[in-house]
Amino acid sequence: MKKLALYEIQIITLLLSFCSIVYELLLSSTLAVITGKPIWWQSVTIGIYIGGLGIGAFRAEKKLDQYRELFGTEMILSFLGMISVVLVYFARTGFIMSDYLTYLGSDFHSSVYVQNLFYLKGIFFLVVQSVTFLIGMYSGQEIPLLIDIYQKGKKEDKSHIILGVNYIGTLVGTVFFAFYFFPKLDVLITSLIVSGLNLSVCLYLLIRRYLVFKKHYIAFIGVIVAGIITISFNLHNIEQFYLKVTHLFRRTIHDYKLSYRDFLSDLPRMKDIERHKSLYQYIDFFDVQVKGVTVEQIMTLDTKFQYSTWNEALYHDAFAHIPLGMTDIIPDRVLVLGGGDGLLIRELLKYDQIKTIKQVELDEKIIKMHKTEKRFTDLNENALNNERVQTTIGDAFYYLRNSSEKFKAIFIDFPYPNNYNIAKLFSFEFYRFVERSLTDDGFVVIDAPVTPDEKYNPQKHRGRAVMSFSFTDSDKAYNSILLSTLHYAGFKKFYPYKVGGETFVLFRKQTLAYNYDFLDSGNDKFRKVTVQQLQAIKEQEFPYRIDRKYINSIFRPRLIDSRRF
Amino acid sequence: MDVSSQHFFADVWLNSTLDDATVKKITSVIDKRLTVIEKYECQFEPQGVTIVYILAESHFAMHVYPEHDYFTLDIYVCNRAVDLDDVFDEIARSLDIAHIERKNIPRGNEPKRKTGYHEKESLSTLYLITFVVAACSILYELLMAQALSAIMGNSVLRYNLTIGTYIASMGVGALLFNRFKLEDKYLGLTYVELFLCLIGGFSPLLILSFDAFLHKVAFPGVFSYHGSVIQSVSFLFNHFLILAVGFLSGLELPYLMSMGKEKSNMAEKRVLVVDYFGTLFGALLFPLVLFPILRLFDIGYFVAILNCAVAVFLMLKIDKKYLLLKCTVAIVFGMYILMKIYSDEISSYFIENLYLGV
Repeated sequence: MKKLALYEIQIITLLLSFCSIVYELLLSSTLAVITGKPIWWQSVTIGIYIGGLGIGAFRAEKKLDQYRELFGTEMILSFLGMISVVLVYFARTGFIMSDYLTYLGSDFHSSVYVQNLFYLKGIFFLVVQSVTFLIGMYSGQEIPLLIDIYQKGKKEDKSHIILGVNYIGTLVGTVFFAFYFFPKLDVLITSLIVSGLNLSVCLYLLIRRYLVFKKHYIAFIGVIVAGIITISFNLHNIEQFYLKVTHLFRRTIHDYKLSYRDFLSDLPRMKDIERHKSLYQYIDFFDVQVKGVTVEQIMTLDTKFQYSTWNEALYHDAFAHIPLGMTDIIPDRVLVLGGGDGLLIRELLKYDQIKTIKQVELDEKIIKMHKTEKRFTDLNENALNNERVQTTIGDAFYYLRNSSEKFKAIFIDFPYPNNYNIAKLFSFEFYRFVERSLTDDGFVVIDAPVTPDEKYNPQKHRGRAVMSFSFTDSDKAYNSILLSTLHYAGFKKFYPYKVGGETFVLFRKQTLAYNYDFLDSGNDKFRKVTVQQLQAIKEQEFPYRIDRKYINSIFRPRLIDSRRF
Repeated sequence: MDVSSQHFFADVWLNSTLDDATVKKITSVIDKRLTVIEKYECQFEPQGVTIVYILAESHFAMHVYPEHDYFTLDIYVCNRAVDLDDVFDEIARSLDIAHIERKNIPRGNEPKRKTGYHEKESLSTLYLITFVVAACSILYELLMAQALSAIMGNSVLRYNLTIGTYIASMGVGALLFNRFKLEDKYLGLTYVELFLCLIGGFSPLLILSFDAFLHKVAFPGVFSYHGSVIQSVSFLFNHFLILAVGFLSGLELPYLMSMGKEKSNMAEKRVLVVDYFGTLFGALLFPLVLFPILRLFDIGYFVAILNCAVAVFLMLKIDKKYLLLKCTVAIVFGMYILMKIYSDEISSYFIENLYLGV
């Protein structure tokens, strides 16, 4: 039997350690993005992977035929790597469908639902993390094996050379993944590439006759190659399957009379979800159709809802005109943070007294699309191209931190704080920067998830009751977190209000009066909001408590509970 | 004089007949690979043979059970250089083996009289130390990844880079262990834990302070904060911290494994497994318990206190003449406890003046 030369072993070690770390990062990043809980999934995945490495290293005994053992290990890793991302997609899709169907059978707060959700989450966790563990375990076997092969017949202990090459490979793999694979190629393609790299090591061993050829090796290799080819030809379909279920299942399953089989068989016929990947997030656009007719078009960021053509007019009315009306302030310069869709700015441009609108938006891609594509410029009435608008691309957090400008009116249009990255923008530190950028008589309005105490309020959506509210302690805690954070950041007077299912908080530094008469009349700028809805605001109550322990700081996040990490 | 040696044992059941020719195959390998000085052989009635060779390296002995196609052998060599496993593998390749039981026991491990006073440490304490040390190690890494997310943003990228850098630098630590290790394992590990406490425990504050310093130093136009010069410096500093913690963590396991090896080979392997379970535990503890409850700086103190407790424990095992080291460990331990108690004041000061004040 031939033996691998030293340089060959080193190259193989480099390749294998590269693949090994990329598998781990692949799984943890995919899970982080798909579930929207990066901290939890990244921590757990690295832990289980390292646990698997340990078990693998422990199990590695001196084998007689080390080349066959290496071949076998790499075959298994190649297979696991190939199915890893696809499995996560399918498992998540199954989870989403089961979760929603269970939810429909019971109330959101009921213990039956919570219990079922726990089991569903457990199954999802087991399915995806067993792949992580197995990949870790087989990766853990590689190093002792390679050291054995390298050491054979040598007197001196040279294992540290293999260890050294292993860690170079790990570092290279990390950099490649973070800066190239993940942002540029995305996860499905990466899994196929790395799986192929693993397979090439097997083929090399076989072709160069380092081990006895057995017929069933052809079968194994054939299975993996067939798998890689099948997946690469179906990349679009796999992604669309996941996207359509994620976005459309909840919204249209009623039209299929809750039959998931009908929904699935109709899936190919549904219009494709448009997915764009920017530097920071996934931007999806899609139509919601009833019986083939489009009733609304929705944009999501990392699968979280941003706006819908069906109700955005109402939302942006309430966002722009109520604060301007209630504070009797129409400044000549306003600051808009976020709002890359231009819809809020469209409303602000209706005021001639506003001469300059300064906008800070993180994602250049969103701005570009809403500035240049007709379907969006029709919607926002070409707001972003207006000469009164100055758009800066950047992170609002760091912009405010470094800015010394003061504004009389600040509109903050961020997504809801569903994960740590965005919760930063609802933090004590951020609001201190906001406070510094506001004139003493100015106001700020944010789109924020506060909850009013309403006894029973069925939301109607296309004629069907979707949810009923009951105000719970956790709702009160949530209000308290946001409002305490504002209070300690320096804003003593806040006014939360709710219009048509959307909630906002208007706040100022000093206890200046609000113009409540405005709520009786409105003004001519409103397109959708009715005077009744305005008057209803006066009855609204948002229970909360102010306490230091509720402060949401970037060093101790409070706004997202641990289940949302 | 170095008395380290190894003793190899094997019990072998064969598929084929154990005849003289087979025995010849076995002994010919011993002839070839080792230095035979004298040979003794005794044939028994009705069957069975005992073979003993005097070697320059020490001895080889074998007993044959032809009626069971079974033989046992042991080889004792007075050095660690010869690869006895490989010698036996060569023997095994020429045989048709049904089953083997084999063992290679290192002998001649000197007791550590010269380097300090130790009590015989029970194995379970060693496992406990390994578990805690491993958990602290991953906790420092997750802590730094989270601190960088808070300061630099984009947490998925930060976690990816931190994890990779950390694993790579751990490997460098394991790799360079032979160059950095101290003869007295307990002393060496105490130093490692002390440095880890200081760097890892303060890492959120260090990252925050350095970032604030960069803000003060920067000015728009030439050295803008967001410009490539300052951002590169920030990147280098932060990743240097990760490298340092990773490197030190990489030194831990070889120390612990050699402590295990003193007891037995099995203990050495078990230390490895316990290390990985400790890592898993730490990786679960962070998002489930620590991060939701404690402030980021507090998590640093908590982990440093745990680490320091290990250092205190180890410190009791080393010689009295390292008084300075012992004092330092005790002071650091006390300091972190104080910092935990006054955490609110300290954190407010740092956040107000260094983070918000710029």
